[in-house]
Amino acid sequence: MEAIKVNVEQESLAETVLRLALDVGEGMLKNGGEVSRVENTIERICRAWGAVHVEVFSIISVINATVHMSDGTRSSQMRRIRATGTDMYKLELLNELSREICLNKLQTEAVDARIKEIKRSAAYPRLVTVPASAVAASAFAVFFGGGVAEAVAALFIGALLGVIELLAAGRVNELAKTVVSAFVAGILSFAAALLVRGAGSGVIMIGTIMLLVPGVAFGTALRDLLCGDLIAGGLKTLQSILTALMIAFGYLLSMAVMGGAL
Amino acid sequence: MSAFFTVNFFVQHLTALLGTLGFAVLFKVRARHLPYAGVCGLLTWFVYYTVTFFGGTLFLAAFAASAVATVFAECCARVRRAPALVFLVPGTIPIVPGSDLYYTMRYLLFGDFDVFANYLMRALLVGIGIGGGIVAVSVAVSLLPKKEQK
Repeated sequence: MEAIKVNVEQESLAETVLRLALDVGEGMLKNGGEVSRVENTIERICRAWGAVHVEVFSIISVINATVHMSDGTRSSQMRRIRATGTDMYKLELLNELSREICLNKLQTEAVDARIKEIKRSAAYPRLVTVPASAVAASAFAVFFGGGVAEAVAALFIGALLGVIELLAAGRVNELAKTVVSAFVAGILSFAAALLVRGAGSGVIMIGTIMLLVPGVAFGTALRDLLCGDLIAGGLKTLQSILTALMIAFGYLLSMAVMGGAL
Repeated sequence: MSAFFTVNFFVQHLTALLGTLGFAVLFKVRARHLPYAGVCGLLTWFVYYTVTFFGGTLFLAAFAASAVATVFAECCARVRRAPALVFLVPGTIPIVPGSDLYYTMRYLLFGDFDVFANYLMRALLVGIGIGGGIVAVSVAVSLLPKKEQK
């Protein structure tokens, strides 16, 4: 949701309506909303503000929409979506906003302000990523059969992956970040197994890998395919397969450095 | 047949709960929804565990677990007034084929194509099971009579 600077006086009704609807839709898509939800929301918002005809097409990286208003104005706009993540808090707020627009038909100026406010909001401080990653990695190391030693090792490696995530967020190519994270996790899993007698590097690695692996993306990709969103689902499938490939590549590199099999 | 409630049963459910909560925070689920997201993860793993315990296939287990998770998430969505995704995305974490997907690519790079194909099939079966369970319930929910909107 980059702030779009517009001269509001020169904007026609159709342009304003579609710009705001796209702001909401773009926010949803960037924070983990499904493509079908994004398309529905944009259409519903436009209709609530008096559109007589709306066409929306979205995939994970682009939203395209055209709106015809009852006053005769029309507008076509496109949004290119780059970084996407999962932020259920923002998704929830945007959902609420769209419901309010549809029920009470909020004024467009008010919506502008609300969208800016949602963009700045956060459910937790940024640093929460570190302990949350640590707990998740540690829990999954035990889940997949690890003991206390593996849980402790995964706790530290998970925390470190959380730090990498914070440092790299939005700045580095996603696939490159994945390779580096997998490489670091691989080296450390291997080192932990050397330090603690009997600790299994494989279990530590699988626990920490849960943080990197696009399991959720893969599941939602197949759901999109089954829902009939073939293009969005196909792209997401390809994206998760590539990510998994990069993780495997990162671990293979660490294996080559450490001279052993994980 | 071995006992259902083993130590492993409790350890796996406890860690599934913790893992789900960890991911829920990573996914920025707000604090007041966290208990519900956690229970969703616990429920998902319980169904998956039970189905596989009684000899169900991976596909069936994933389908049943994600269908139950979706029903639970839709109920939470109505009670908690939040999108169902808030509960469903962390809730399916214990069964997502993350490790299978990783092993698939690992054995592809190793050039071990038999094991590769084996893991690929597992990842696909579980993935389609999860997707199918969610879609089946979503379709059923969309057929329910809607509350009158003001």
